[in-house]
Amino acid sequence: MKNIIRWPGLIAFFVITGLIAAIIILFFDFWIKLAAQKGLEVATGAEVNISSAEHSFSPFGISLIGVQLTDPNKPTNNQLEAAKISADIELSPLLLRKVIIDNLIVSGVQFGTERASEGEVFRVNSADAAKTALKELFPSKADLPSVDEVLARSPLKTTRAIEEAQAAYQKHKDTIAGEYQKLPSKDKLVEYKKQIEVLSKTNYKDPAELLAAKEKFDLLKKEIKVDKQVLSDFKNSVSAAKQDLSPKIAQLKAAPGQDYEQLKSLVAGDAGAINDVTTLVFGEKAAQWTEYGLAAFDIVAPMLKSKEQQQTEEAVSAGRWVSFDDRSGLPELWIKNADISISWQQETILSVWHNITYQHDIIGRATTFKIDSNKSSLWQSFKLDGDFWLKDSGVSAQQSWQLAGLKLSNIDLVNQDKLSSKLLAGIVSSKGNVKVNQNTLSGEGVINLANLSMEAQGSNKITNIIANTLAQLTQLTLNTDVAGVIGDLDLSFSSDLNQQLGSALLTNIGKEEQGKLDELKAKLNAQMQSALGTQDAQLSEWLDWENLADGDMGSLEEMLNSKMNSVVDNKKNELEDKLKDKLKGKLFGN
Amino acid sequence: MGLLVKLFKALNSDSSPWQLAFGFTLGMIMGLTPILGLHSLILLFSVLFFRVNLSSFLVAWALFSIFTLPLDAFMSSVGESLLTAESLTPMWTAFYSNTVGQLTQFYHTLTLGSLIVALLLSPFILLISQFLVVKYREKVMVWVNKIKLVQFIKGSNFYRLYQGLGE
Repeated sequence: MKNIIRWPGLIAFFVITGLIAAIIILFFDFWIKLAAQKGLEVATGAEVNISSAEHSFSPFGISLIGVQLTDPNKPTNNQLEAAKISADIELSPLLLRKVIIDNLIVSGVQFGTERASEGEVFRVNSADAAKTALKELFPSKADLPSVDEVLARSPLKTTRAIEEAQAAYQKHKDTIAGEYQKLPSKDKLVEYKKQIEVLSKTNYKDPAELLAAKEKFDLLKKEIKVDKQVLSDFKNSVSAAKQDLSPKIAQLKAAPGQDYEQLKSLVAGDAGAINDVTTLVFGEKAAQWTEYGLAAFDIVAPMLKSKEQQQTEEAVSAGRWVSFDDRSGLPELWIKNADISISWQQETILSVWHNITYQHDIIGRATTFKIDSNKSSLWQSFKLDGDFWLKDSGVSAQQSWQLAGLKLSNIDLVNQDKLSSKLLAGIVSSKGNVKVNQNTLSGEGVINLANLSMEAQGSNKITNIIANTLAQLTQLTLNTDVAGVIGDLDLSFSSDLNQQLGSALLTNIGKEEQGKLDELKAKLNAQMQSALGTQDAQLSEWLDWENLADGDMGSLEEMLNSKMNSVVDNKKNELEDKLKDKLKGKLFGN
Repeated sequence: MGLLVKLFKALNSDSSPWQLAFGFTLGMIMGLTPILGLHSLILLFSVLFFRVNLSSFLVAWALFSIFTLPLDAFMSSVGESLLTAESLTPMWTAFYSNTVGQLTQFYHTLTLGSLIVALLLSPFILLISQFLVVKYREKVMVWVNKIKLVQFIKGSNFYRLYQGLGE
C-alpha cells in the first residue's frame, strides 16, 4: 500500500485545486463579463460592451454595470443601453445549465443612445433597406415627368374606357352585321304587300277559289313570320349592343375629366413630393417611437429566440446537452420577475415583467409586461400592457398602449438638402394595439399631434410650399398601420397632410405648370375623341337599323292581320245573308 | 521538449513499467475528454495520490488532446446514441435529477461519449504501453546506450545542460 499511495500527492492535489478555485474566484467577475458579452452578442448580432461585472455568493447574484447593445441597423447608436443589470440566480439549477432568475432589476434603460465608437455588427438586418429608400422622395424640378411620361406610366381611366368600349363594340359588331345581312330586302317586303293586296281585293264568288286563296295566304303568312323572326332577332341584338355600349361611351366621355383631376397634381409637380410626405416628415420619428413601444416584441422576443437557436447551434458543433425530465419542469432560462426602469428625458418609466423565457410551453405561462405611469412633468398618463408566448411555430403576442399629453420639444423630423423640418413644440397622444400571430404582426394606432409649432425650410418651389404648409400646421392626426414580422416591422403612416399639400401646390402653380396641365387636358380629350368618333358613329348606325327594322315589322304585322281577315269576314257575312234568305223563303212561302 | 526528456528519463529510470503505463493511460483519458467536469478532478486526484508516473501522464495528455480534433464528432455521436437510447432513459433521468449526476455533466453528449471511448480504450492502452516499456528497456535502451554517438552526447556538457533545463 505504501508503494501505491503518494501522500505528498494528496497535498499537491489540494494545492492545485485550491489554486484553480482561487483563480476562478479572483477572476470571477471577468468570466461573468466575458460570458455575458458573448451571450448577448450572439443574441443581438452586434457588439456588446459591459463596463464591469460584480457578484455575490449569498444569495448568489451577479450585476452588470454599463451595458451597451449596439444597434445592428445603426452601429453608431445603441439599440439599448442599461446603467445596471442585477440578477438573483438560483444556484442548483445552474448545474443543469438552467438559468433561473428570481428577480431581475434593470435600471437606467435608454434606447437609441449614441455610441462613443461604432459598434461591430455580426448579423446584418435587411429591414433597413426600406428606411433608406424613403430618404430621397422630394423631387427637384428636373425630376418632374413630362406629360407623355405621365400618360404612359399612369393607369388612365380614359385608356381603360377606350379599351372597354372597343371590346364591347367588337363583341357585338359581327353578330349585328351578320343578322343585318339576313334581314328581308325592301323588294321582298313590297312583293309581300302586292300579293296580299291581290288576295284581299279579288271578289271570290266561288268558295273553292276562296279556299285556295286562303291556303296561299297561309303559306305567305309562314314566310312573313320567318322574316319577322329574323327582324325580331336583329332588333334584340341591337338592343343588347345598345345597352352594353351606351354606358361605356358615357364612361369614355367622362374619363378624360376624371383623369385630369387625378393627374394634374402629378404634372404640376407635387405628387412625387406629397405621395408620402407624412411618412417622410413624421415617419422616421413616429417609426422610432412605435419601435420603442413595441420593443418587447421587436427586441426582447428575437433575443430570446436567438438564445434558443444558439443552444441548438452549439449542439451541432461540440456535443449537446440532453435534457431529461428532472421532475422540476424548469426551462433553460426563466426570469420570474423583472423590474426594468427606462430613463427618458429626466423621467423614469418603470416596466414590470413576469415569466421571461423562450420556453413558454414548459412553464405554461406567457411573458407579461406592463407600464402604468401616472402624471409626470412630461405626460399626463402612459399605460402599456401586453404579453408574448414563444412557440416552435413562432411568436404569439398582443400589446395595447395609451399615451396622453406627452410634451414634445425640439425634435428634428427631416434633414435633407431639399427640405428640413423641426418640431419646436407639441403635445402627442396616442393609442393603439398590436397582435402577433406566428410572427406576423397586425395592428393599428393613432397618433394625435396637437398645439404644434413647427419650423421648416425648403430649397425649391415645391419644397418651399411643403415647408410653408408644415409651418402652418397646428394639429395633425397620424394613422399608423403595423404589419410585417417580428424583427422586421413594417410601419406605414397616413394623414390628411397629403391633401393639404396637394391643394397648396395646385394654388401655387406657375405658367410652365399651367401649360403642362393644358397639354394634359388636350391629350386626354384627343384620346377620347378619336376613340369616341368610331364608337359613336357605329352606335348611331345600329340605332338607324333598329328604327328601320321597327318600321318593317310594323307594316308586316299590319298587312298580315287587317287585310286578309276582312276578306274572310265579308265572305262569311255574305254566305250568312244568303243562307238566311233561303230559310225565310222556305218558312214563310215567298 | 522538457516533457519528452522527462519521459525518456522515466523510461530509463527504475520506475516500474506499470507506473508508466498507468500514467500514460490516465493521460489518455484526460486528453480525450473535456477538461471541465468532475471526471477531470477524479483523474487529477488519482494521478497525484497514487504512485503513477507524472511524465507519462503529461505526455499522453498532450498527445491525445491532439487526437480530439478528428475524434470529437465520433465521440459525440457515441454519447448521443447512449443518451437518446430509450432503454437507458430511466437511468439518465434518475442521474439527471441527482446532484452528483448533475456534477458529472454526463448528459453532455461529448463528455459522456469521450469518457466511454477513453474507458473502453484504457485496458488496451494500459497493456500495450506496459508491454512497450518493457520491450524498450530490454532492447532499445540497451542498443541505444551502446551507440558511440549517444555515449558521446551523454558525456557532453551540452547534454548535461539540456538535462538541467528539463528538470
